[in-house]
Amino acid sequence: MSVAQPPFDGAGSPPATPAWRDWRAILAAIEGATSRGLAPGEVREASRVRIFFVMALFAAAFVYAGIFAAKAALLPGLEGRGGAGAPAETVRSDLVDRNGRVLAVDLIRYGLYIRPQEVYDRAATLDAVARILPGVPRARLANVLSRDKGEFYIAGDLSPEVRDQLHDLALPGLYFQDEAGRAYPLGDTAAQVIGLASRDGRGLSGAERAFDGAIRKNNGPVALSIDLRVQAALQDEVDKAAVHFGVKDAVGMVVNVRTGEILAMTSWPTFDPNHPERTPPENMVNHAAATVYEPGSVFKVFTLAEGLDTGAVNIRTVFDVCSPLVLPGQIIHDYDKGDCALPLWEVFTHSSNIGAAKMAIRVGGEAEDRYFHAFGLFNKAPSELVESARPLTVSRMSINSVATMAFGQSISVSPLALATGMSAILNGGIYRPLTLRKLGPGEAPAPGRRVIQESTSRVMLGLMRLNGTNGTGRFADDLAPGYMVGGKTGTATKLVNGHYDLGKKNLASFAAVFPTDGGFDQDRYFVLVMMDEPKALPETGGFTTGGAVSAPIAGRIVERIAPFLGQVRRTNVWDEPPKGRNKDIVDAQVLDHIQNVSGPSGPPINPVIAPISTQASATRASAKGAGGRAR
Amino acid sequence: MSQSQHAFQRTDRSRLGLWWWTTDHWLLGATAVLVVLGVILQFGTSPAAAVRLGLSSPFHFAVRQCVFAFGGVAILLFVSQLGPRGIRRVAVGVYLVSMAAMLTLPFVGHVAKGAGRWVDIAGFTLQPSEFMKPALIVLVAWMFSEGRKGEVPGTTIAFILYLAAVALLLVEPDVGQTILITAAFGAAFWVAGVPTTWILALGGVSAAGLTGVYFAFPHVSSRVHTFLHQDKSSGPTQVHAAAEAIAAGGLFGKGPGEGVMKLEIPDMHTDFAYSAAAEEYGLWFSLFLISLFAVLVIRGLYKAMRLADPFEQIAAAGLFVLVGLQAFINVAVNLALIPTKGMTLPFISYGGSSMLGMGLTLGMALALTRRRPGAYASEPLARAGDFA
Repeated sequence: MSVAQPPFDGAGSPPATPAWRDWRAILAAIEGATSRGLAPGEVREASRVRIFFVMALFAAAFVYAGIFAAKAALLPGLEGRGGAGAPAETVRSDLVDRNGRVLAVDLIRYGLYIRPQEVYDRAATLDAVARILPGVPRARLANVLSRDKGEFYIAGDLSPEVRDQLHDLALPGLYFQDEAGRAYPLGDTAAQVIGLASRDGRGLSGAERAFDGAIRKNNGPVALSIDLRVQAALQDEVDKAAVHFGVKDAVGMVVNVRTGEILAMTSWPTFDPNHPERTPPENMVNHAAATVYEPGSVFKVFTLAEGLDTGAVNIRTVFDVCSPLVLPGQIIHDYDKGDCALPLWEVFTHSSNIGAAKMAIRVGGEAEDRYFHAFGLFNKAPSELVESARPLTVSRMSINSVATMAFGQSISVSPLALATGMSAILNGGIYRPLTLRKLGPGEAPAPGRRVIQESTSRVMLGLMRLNGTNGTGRFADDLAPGYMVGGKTGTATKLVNGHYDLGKKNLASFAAVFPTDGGFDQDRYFVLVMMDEPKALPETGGFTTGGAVSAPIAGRIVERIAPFLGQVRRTNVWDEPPKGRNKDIVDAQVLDHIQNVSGPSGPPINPVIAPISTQASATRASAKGAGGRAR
Repeated sequence: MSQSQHAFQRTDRSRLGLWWWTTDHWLLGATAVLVVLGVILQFGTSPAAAVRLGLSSPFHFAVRQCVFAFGGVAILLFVSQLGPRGIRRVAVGVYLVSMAAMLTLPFVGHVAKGAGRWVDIAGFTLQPSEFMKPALIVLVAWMFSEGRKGEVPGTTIAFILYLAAVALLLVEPDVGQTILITAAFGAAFWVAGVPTTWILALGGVSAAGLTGVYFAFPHVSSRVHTFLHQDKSSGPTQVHAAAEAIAAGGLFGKGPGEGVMKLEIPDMHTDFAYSAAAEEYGLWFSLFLISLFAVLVIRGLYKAMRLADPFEQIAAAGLFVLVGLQAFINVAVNLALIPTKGMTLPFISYGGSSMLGMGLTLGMALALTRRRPGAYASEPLARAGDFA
């Protein structure tokens, strides 16, 4: 063994002897190069410094590992979430109404899984689980527990208490998974509007779906435009009437036409969203948005707005309705026979199909197409609700379709689309999508787009009011005196085997607005009631028309909700005509009123020319006559 | 064993009493906690694997881990009572036996997961490389210190021992262990006082070797490829599952036994025990685990630093580097910081070889860092400014 060579530099040259000749020399070279000839103490000190350096490196490495451990645990970020076994993100915000009252809340719920291969005592497990979960069939449990492998979902929607009971059994093989439990404390109130969310926390329908993004952000409650008080009154009246008249389905809506907010929306039949599994699927349909109806005479609101706004006609333009209107392959009748020369305002209050059709033809198909487009009747209503249905329309405008659409035939729209278009006519002429989102304090309504002049809107409000006091809408006004209710009836005869089977199956509607006076900067409310196929009852004189069936419902609704909406009951000469008072005088005053609010100008009218039936202060007893006119 | 402070009197001169009062209690404590935690965690995570493998008892692995833990502790207790000379003897013996076993591996080895690393002994499969590692480190430390005295070509012998080990590891192949012992060997070499240029050269050769390994072994290149191109669509890989488990655990975890990732992914009780623990016990526990290793390694290196004898100094430092590197690499794999390696988390992962090998490693490390007359020189630890 060679003695240590003189110190070499690390990269120093080998000793003089050729390296490959003498392996001892090679060894010496290696050994010499790896020690610098330090004294033992100096080497030890060098080693200490180096160990200290290694120690520092390790300290840094463990701190580094700790930082990344924290990052991996707390900020999983985009890495591979959502794979097998990843817990579902189930947290959803509460849904509240515009006043903060709870509509939907998250509950802590659990699903139970059993992995039979991990179960020790199968008989004891079977007994214990069956005792705590009596709803689970014993046969199913026994079947699961007889397996040797796998994972089986036993029950969901378990409350924390039930979960604790099961957990406290300390049975192996029982697993729990978080579930999205969603509770709807109001039961069937506004069920379709609120909608449903799935177990894994996704919105499926209604507002749960419409505002899914905001709800899943979980930044505090999501406020809907719904006013629970209004909703309760609306739904109560609609539900009671729906049962009373034995309808197929029914719809109710209340809208603030100034802001476009939907305050209430109901669809009958309804369901308990806490138990969707017990509900026939058809009950979950929100008919207010998802179903299209042939609306009938409520459409005359659109037709008259169109005619008046073009300036081609005014409310005193007289139409000959003496004889049926003969069109190619079609004859249009009036329900109310015996009228002959009607000014446009009486075409409205008598709901004359012939008059409306003639007006539409006079104004022209192009204008109808343009205006109805502007009112949004040819497209599905723009809405947060994905349920919003596409209308059924004729593919090509003909003289027949121009004439029949004027009184709401040969077109089917959703109640939501109808309400959106009517809001534009009643709010000063601005078309804006109706919203289920509550406008923030001081938040301006959506800008929308102007579809008719403000003056036209004013005249339409006057005509609605006139119809409310003296026309087919008076059953509504009678039941909500002093709230300045106006409205238009609609009785759409349903197509049965390709024929309009008069009087058998109807859609009875009423489109109400209140108050009809006041500026367009004030809140004004639109109320829609639709009863699909009401049964004829003696109390309505066997009539199933909008005036007989739906107008009183709307009246009761207004009477109930007006106080919530800050409306003050007023009395003046034409709010409530005294009994026996001559209606003609009232009519004259109404027309003066319309004129005073700057309707399109025209020759002054003599109300005596076209007297309205003097059946004043209509009562239930005289419903037959009133219903008869509501066509 | 320390149920009361009177277990060992200061005046206790028995063998065990001496051992107790001379062994570093920080190191002993950290090791004991790790062993106990390793056993407890196995009872939570391994039943899923036992059931998946169709074993009759769900606690198959947990019970075996218990047995291994006793074995590891026994080895640790025995070895840590030895003196430096005894340690050297044990190292020589273990090195020779494990190298012999590794030589036979290509012929009798038990191939699993792309590598033949295991040898069957009496129903247990042992991985000889786990025992070879600490023995090698002690031997090269010995050789470095002897070489410095100039009587033995220590450096040459150390390199021969190292290269022989690497050669046998690459035959298996076991790239992870190769990297580990290379790093620990380099650390020991450097600590021994070699000029830094040598270390740089060694690093260069290692880098070249790694590149060669990447192209030579398909499973290595595929793992590196997987790591570099983490394809989200390619299904739940172990690394993805580990990330999900850690994220699902959050700060406080899902609770003991509540983890679900162990149900889906194999190896959650072995190489990915860290992730399984993080899922069930949360971040605070992960940090506690990391801190335990940090205490063990840093305290160990601190003790090594102060040792007087070069052999003890280099060997102790090398052994703690071995433990620390293995822990760090495993945690880094779990946190997806580096590509997957077949490497266990000391004491925590399930595995007999790992547990017994760690018992040997820390037994030797504790033995070398024990207080003995003259072990910690009276000369000043360091002059001011030395570490600046």
